[in-house]
Amino acid sequence: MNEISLLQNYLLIGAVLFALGLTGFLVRRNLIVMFLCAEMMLQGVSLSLIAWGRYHGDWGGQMLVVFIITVAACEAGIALALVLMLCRDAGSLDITIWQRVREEGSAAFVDREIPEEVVVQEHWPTLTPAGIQPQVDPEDQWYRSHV
Amino acid sequence: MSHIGLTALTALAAVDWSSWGTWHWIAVATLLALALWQTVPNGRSPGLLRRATVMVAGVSGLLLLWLALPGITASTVQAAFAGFATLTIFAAVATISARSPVYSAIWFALALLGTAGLFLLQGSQFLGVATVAVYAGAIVVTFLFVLMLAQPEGHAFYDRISWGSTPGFVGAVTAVFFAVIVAIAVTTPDADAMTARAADAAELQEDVSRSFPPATVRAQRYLSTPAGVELAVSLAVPPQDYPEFREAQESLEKELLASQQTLRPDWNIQRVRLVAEDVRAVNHAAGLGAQLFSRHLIAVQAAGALLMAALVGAVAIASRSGSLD
Repeated sequence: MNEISLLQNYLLIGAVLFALGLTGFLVRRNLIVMFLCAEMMLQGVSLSLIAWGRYHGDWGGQMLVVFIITVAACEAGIALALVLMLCRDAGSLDITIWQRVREEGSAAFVDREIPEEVVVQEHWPTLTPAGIQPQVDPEDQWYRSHV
Repeated sequence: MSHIGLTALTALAAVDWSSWGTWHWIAVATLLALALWQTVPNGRSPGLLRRATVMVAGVSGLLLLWLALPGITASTVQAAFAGFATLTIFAAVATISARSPVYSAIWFALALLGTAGLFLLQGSQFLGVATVAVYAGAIVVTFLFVLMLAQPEGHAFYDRISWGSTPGFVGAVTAVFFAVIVAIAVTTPDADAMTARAADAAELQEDVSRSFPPATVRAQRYLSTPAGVELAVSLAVPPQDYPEFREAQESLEKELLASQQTLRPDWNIQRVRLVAEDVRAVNHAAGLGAQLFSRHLIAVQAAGALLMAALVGAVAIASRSGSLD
């Protein structure tokens, strides 16, 4: 059955996207990446809604997805303003900084080992020198050390 | 919480443990969870063993997943679906496993492109375009802006580590969650009832096509109303372009009401309704707009109010100069 198998395929992909977003939300510690994962969960739900709407020949699924996109845009605006404010307050996007709002009596999470950064030898593109050598301030960093 | 546990237990109790397919799904969930557990940032450097585990477990899990999926008869649709779905899942895994949040956002944009392709494949053209334009074009770019503002030095140590031993725990939780979802979504919905319903629809299609020229009928569906089943027949042409619309509707109604007593007493068709717009119609955006601004008008107004409130709130939050305390 074509319609049924199409529906089942889409439901499965929607479930996978939702589970991936949930995992990322629980595992990652960067505030912005956590919000990206929340958006990914919304995408999984949208896929399921559209598949059901197509299966029933009904506009309801697509209507809900239209409003999901609207709410996601609102959520992104508010959340990013909040993240910027939190980051300005704490100086970092790490979610563990906000442990002080945890429940009273529960133990704080402490990093046991902070991983070493793997130093990769960067090969930046070079140009053939031409003209006068400019005066470069050595304190001024011209490029990101890593991305 | 206990309600969720109860639902999960009920779903698990409904699973047929002696069936081969159940163990197939468990194998898929276990392999994918193992691969995911090794992929997410957990502080260790990706050694050869980890990479090999991820590759073997991920590839075999995905292969088993594709094997378990029911095939789509149209091979081009099948190929397009496989391509878009693979792109989406790969990009989603890369989103949650990339060390750098900038790369995460870019991978997420790619996952959105895959999702938009899946939307287009379902015939929802407007939403496919809106996803690319609004999500990938505006929201992800805003994320990138804020990333550049808040974390200009690239990735930090907390992007290379998770909450202690949480990845293992979360991997297990997600595997169980995924298995329950699959058990509900794929096995529990009664495939036999769906097939019977499709057979009913095919039978009814013959009745409909006796009353209407086949080219004018695009789709039909049943709506359960308190009075009984209502049959909605979607036309490929607008009703005003179809002069025999009223007569055909009346004759179809009469014929169905007469025949259901003998053929299908369980249908109890009350009314035949002819609609011009359908989800699969060619003038798709027109139908979507007609639904949006007629049936969902109040919701549109509420969404507009929500957008306005979010705008004001974001400005109010972002322009606060003091600290939290």
